[in-house]
Amino acid sequence: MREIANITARLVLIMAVAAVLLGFTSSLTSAPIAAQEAANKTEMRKAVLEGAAEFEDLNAVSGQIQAVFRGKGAAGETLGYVFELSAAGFGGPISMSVGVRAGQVSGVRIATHSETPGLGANAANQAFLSQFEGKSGVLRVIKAGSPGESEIMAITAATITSKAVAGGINEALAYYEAKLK
Amino acid sequence: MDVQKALLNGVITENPTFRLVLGMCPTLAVTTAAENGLAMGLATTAVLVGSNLLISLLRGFIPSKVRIPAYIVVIATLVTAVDLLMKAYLPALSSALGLYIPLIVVNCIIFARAESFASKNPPIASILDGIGIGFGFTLALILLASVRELLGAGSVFGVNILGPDYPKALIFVMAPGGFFSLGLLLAGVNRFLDYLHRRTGGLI
Repeated sequence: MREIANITARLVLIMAVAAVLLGFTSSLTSAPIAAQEAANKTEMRKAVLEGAAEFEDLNAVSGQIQAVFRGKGAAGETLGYVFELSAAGFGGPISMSVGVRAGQVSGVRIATHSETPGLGANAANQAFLSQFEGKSGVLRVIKAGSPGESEIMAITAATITSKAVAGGINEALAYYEAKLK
Repeated sequence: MDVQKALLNGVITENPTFRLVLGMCPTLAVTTAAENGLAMGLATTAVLVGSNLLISLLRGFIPSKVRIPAYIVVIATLVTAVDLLMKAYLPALSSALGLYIPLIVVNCIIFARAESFASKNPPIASILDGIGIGFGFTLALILLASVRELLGAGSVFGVNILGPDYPKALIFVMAPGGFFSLGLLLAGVNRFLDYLHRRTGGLI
């Protein structure tokens, strides 16, 4: 009986110290982490819509689209739009930003994903993403041959990931055509 | 236990991958490219040093009957705290290694060293053991990942080696290739170590 009480007390003490330490660390780091994430997001918006200085949240949600921003230039003129999407990839959600300028894709960046390292994870590389730049309309993913006007070359052995990214971009382009044009 | 002995033990005698065959899940999962192997190895080394130190310091306090849950709580707390601090104050490092941190919490090498070494040895020796084992793990991951990247993508650390005409054996960067490479390397490395053992008269 005494032994059980002793063991329990020690285990409870370890857990309590761990909980306090974690709570303390979490409250200490939550503000810097949030600031870091906000800075990353702004950075990403600027990367997909070059030249934009300010982003206005249009508070729009639709399908895979989680946020739409109007990108404004230095004088306040509308340069284009940035879509933040969550597409269903092979290993989980792919969170990405798509810039649209005058109906064409101006840039794509992938923020977070859980695709297979070495295969689907290559979708985050510019070699794949830059294919989308300047494209408009409905994009199709092909596995072989040479891509045409509205076609995108899939990443080898990562067709599901490639299609997920293209699907997200198609949705952003369609949303632009329907609501923002 | 001196540094040299700890390194020799971690890299050869008790190499976590080739000798103890521990931590196979993250090993097979991340070794698709040499760079990933290096990152995972370094992140694991850092956690291993920290967890060995903590477990060693607490070794008189943790009751042996409930040591496993106690280890899990201590190690998970350490890893989570490091992850949060890295995200907040070292964002560049976090984006490079952050992906591997959650994989490390469940890595049995950490528990194996806590159980078989840190719980029975003083702090300094435990830190050295963490460095040695971590170093051995890192080298093994780089070796395995280099083989897979070379055969599967024709490159090592992203640098093309086999030329543009090499027909990439993609299976090597996928799961089955992980097992093929690991099996062949296990056989090869152990054959080599046996040879070394005999040649040095049992020194290594």
